[in-house]
Amino acid sequence: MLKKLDKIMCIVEDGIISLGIITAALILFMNVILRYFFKSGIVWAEEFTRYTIIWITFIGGSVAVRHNAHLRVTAALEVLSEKKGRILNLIVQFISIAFTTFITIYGWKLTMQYKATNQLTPSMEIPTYWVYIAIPLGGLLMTIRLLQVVWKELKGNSSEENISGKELA
Amino acid sequence: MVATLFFLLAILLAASTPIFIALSGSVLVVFALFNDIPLVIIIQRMFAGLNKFALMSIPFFVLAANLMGEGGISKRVIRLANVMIGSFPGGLGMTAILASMFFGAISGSAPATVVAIGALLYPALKEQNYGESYAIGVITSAGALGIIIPPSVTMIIYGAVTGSSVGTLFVAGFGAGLIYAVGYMVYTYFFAKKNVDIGMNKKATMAEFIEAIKDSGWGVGVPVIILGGIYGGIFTPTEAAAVAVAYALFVAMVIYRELDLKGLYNVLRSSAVTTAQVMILLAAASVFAWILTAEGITVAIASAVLSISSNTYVILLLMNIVILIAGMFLDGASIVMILGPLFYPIAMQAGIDPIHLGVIITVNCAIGMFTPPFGLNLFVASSLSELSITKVSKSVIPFIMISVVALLLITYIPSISLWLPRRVYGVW
Amino acid sequence: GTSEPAGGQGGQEKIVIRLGHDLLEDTHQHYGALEFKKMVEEKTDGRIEVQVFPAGQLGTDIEIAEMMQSNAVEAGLVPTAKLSGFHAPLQLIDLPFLFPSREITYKLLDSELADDLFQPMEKIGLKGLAFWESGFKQFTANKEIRKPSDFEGLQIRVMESPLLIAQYRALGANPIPIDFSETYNALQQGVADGQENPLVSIAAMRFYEVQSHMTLSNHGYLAYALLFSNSFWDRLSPEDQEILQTAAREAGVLERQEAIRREEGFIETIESSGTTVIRLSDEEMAAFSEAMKPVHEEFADVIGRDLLQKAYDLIEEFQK
Ligand code: NA
Ligand code: NA
Repeated sequence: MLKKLDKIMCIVEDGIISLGIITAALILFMNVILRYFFKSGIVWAEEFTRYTIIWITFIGGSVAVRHNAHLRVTAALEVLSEKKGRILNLIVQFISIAFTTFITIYGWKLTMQYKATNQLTPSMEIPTYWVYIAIPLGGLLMTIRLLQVVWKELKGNSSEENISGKELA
Repeated sequence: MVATLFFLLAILLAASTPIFIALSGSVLVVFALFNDIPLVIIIQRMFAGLNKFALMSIPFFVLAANLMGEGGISKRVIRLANVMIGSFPGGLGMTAILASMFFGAISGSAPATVVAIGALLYPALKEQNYGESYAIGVITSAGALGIIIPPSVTMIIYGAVTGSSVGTLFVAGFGAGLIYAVGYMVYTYFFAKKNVDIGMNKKATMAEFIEAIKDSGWGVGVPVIILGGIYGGIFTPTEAAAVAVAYALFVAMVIYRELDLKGLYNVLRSSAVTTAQVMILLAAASVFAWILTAEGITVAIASAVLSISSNTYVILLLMNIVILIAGMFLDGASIVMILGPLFYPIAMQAGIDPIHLGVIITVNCAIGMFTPPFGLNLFVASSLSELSITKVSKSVIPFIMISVVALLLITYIPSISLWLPRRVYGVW
Repeated sequence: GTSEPAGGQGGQEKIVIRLGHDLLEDTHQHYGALEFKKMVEEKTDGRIEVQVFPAGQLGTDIEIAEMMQSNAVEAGLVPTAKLSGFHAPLQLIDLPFLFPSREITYKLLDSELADDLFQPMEKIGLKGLAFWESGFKQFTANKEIRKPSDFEGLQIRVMESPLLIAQYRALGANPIPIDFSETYNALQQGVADGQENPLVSIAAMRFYEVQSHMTLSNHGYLAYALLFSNSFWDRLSPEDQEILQTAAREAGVLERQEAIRREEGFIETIESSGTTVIRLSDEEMAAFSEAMKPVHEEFADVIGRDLLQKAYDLIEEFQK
């Protein structure tokens, strides 16, 4: 059951970020074509791009946790013994959970603030909170992923995978 | 408060906390302990740090480069480069330097340049036995120098802040850019000479040459379209990245047919993850930059340092030091906006030419991007090459040494920057 | 530094107001902000301290407005054109050729109409104190612009605003939203053929270096609003509110005077750089007004028909 849920989560996360990046690129490209050849254009292209990339950043942030791909300075881990390294890693995971929990709660607060004030975006004139909700959502997903990592770590079968985004391909 | 902030950042970074959490987490703790500023500001600044159109070139250049790599374009372009310059000592390294500087000039973003050029040339350099250290070092450092070469957003902001002519600044940037290009290329030449494995390719025959050109024709279209499109006024640098994506997609899937739908999906996903890795750092850096500004920390440190001396040469040196440190955390445009108004009157009093000052500040901002322990280029390069940040930091050391020498030359020999603009615009 | 609680209860407690804007230090808006600071600090003997953060140090204009909403920043100076997403009726001020003269502009924006515009914004966390200005907007382009048809097919850079986009569509141009910081390069490389801005921005960002012509069209007005975080404002004593409100108005008057004083100098700088400055005759001006008028009707519902009519009526009254 949990496994299945995890699988669905992966598919949704990967789907959003993959579809997002290509859609944004093609809309910007279309805008250039329309402007150059047809003297017209998509006035919301720029705004759409920015907001899509913000979504990719926070949802992709969760995928990066899943693959232990967030950038960090690992010099200490290279020096420490394996056991001490594991303990340090665990501490870092807890610090990370504290922070992603903060992102989730305060991101949600801010999103609700924009919802309450009915603020619209300048170009597309969609509710601003549709954009901001990517932050608490990403925070929540990252928190879940971090808890998974800690759970595996405590169970002892820590995943040694350390693949960055590039190697996913 | 300032001490706590930097202490926390250092501890968190050293403990191998993800950098974005170290940056914004240390600010969170300081806000919670010392301030009554609502904590949602951290979320707002993360959003603001991403919500900039100029940054949008990063994801699309990543995607274009990955499409070129998986779609068989990169290998053909690399083969062409091999045939053309493979027998010249350091030829490919020099190509990387020039490509990075000019690409940086048009994209306006140092991290974007590292990604765009690095994704193509880092594997090529490794293949030609330059070693991963030189390969990533040259990409990381040369990628930052684009902001010196026009068109430079940093210089536009400097012109606006100080009332200097942007046109004159642009022309002045060429002198400084030339010094860097020459410095890096001379180093590359001797580096290649010393390492016998590099540049051992035999001179290509005419037949090989023609074959390589024929084979790589579509791939060479990428730089032609990007440069031609931007300088021809067809699209902005950010849009150029999206055009490159569409073009690479077409060539990879329709012309070469080396990329199927499954391959495409993998390229999209890995590009999006790289995007998230890099952009979440920029979001967090913006949180850190905000506390430095809103609490007046940047200005306080700069004022304290500058009050040490009134000697022109010492003042210039102190300015170099302050901006190099600021460059670790802030981008060029922010540095110029915050420190420009502070430095300008002091420099004028010391008799420094405003255009010369603009070049010095811009060069400093560039170097700050790749000086360890903290610089966005270092982090992006690490993500790209899958080398640890420690390794990347070591790899840039020779380039930092060259950069500092060049910086001193530019600082103390004003005519390097001013000779050309004086020919063009006369004496002002 | 705000280690002291900003905006506490008692009359004696020190209050720190951080006022952000994203203009350079050498602008009349920053000058106005410093005048505001001086007035407030003098009247309160320094009990209220105003810290002015120029050049976007606290954030861009929209970001400052958002930070005021969550009370992370106490005050800000924000162009009203950027606030249409917060409060759509503010677009009234952006309507082309709404104001017949500078005097009437000031009268209107200091009238009860200001309350009509500001009051509903308290619900979204923003307290408006006064309208300041950037100035009247002018056209610049790489060709001569004398009549509406000169815009046919031109790519015009605009700020991200539905009303401004509609305005250039009405002229037959192709409006492209481009970030302010990318505008110089876009004009130089020809991605955009022209743009509109008040003289102060054309001069400060040196757009004239990359534009062959400037038309003094005064076709639109770029207002700034001095805003406070509403939750911060509500915690102030009525006396302090009065001091701030008065200072906002008085500094605004000085800010506008300074804007006018500087304009001749800007035109001189721009003209002496080799850019051709075009001054329109009354008939030429009327042609532009005619061509752009449909925008008023197009946005009447967004702005509110009652409010628009009230503005028309007041303008007519002031003209007498
Ligand atoms: Na540049
Ligand atoms: Na650095």
